[in-house]
Amino acid sequence: MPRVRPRVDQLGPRLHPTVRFFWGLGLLSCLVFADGWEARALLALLGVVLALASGKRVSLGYFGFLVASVVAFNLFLPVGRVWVNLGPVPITEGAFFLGLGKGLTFAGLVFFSLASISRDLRLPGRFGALWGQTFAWYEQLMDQRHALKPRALLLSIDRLLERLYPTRPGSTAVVPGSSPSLLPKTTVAGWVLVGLTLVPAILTAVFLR
Amino acid sequence: MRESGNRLDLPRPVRTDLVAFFGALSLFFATLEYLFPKPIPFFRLGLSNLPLLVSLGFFSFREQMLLLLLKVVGTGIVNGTLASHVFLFSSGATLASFVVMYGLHRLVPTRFLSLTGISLAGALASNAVQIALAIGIVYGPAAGVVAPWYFGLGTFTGLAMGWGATAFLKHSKWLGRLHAQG
Repeated sequence: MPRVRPRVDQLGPRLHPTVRFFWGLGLLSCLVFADGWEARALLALLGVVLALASGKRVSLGYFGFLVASVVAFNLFLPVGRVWVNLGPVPITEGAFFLGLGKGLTFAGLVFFSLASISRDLRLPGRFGALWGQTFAWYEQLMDQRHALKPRALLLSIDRLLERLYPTRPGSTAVVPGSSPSLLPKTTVAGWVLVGLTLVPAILTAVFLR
Repeated sequence: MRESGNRLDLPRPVRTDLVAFFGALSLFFATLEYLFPKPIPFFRLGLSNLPLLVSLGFFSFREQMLLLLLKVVGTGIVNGTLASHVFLFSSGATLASFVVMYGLHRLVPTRFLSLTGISLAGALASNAVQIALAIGIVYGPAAGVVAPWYFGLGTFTGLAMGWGATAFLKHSKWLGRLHAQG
């Protein structure tokens, strides 16, 4: 089992999860409505920085491959000036930049999502309560994940399940409640961050065309 | 009786707790899979589908749908992809896979179709939806060229998950006792 080095979420203590969620939606909207690959590249770059600041793992190789593959598939549909002919396939300027913009949009969507979705995000209603219960169990499973033994996987999973949800006669499952942990309030620094990212993102989306 | 068992005859609140527990298991497996490096970009074994597969027939249709929702929304929140196209792909593929697996589970007797077969059909349905979404939203029509490879991988993962689920159902004392309670 790979050991995971914990990463620090720099945004968590400064932003309430709901404010953080809507902030992310705002940034996502800017990315979706941006026109041109330059604007999308700038926004995707902002997304990478925010995703890293939120302590999420960002595999640049994976996202590089994502963008490259979108560009490659777009090149099969020629648009605009021909740069070079690769056998029967004309590599065109329009198709390249269309693909680049599209690839950057999808990568950026994931970056902004990583930055803005917090595990503390509360969902409303009965489903929200059930989600809280699910997440509490998930945390217990994660705490005990080292009990899984690759050489006896099925047996170790079985033991782990019995420990968390006992089924032996006479035992009762203790259903964890969703932890009533105090959620952070949005601090002044948090609101400054929202302003300092959202305003330039809107300006980029509107004016860089 | 299909090997994944009959519906649990437990009080409704207990079954709802179990739905939450199976949902947590799905998230747990999704996280484990996320931690391991992928041999091929975008390749997923689909470990998080194991609880869905194992619990086929345990719950009512409504409870199964709740489990499905917990899995897709929960994975989106835990992995942070809830607000991205990844969530659309994940929810579309999981829904298609579930509809096919649930339908086959309900309609086709065990002697004609094993749990591995159900898993395979679910994996291929999931792949078909992902390819359709990839063509329609991300990559365009040219992405159709990777479909055979993708279905090949789907066949492998579907068989692997089906084998895993069957082995777990056969050997798990925990599931056996749970079923004895119901």
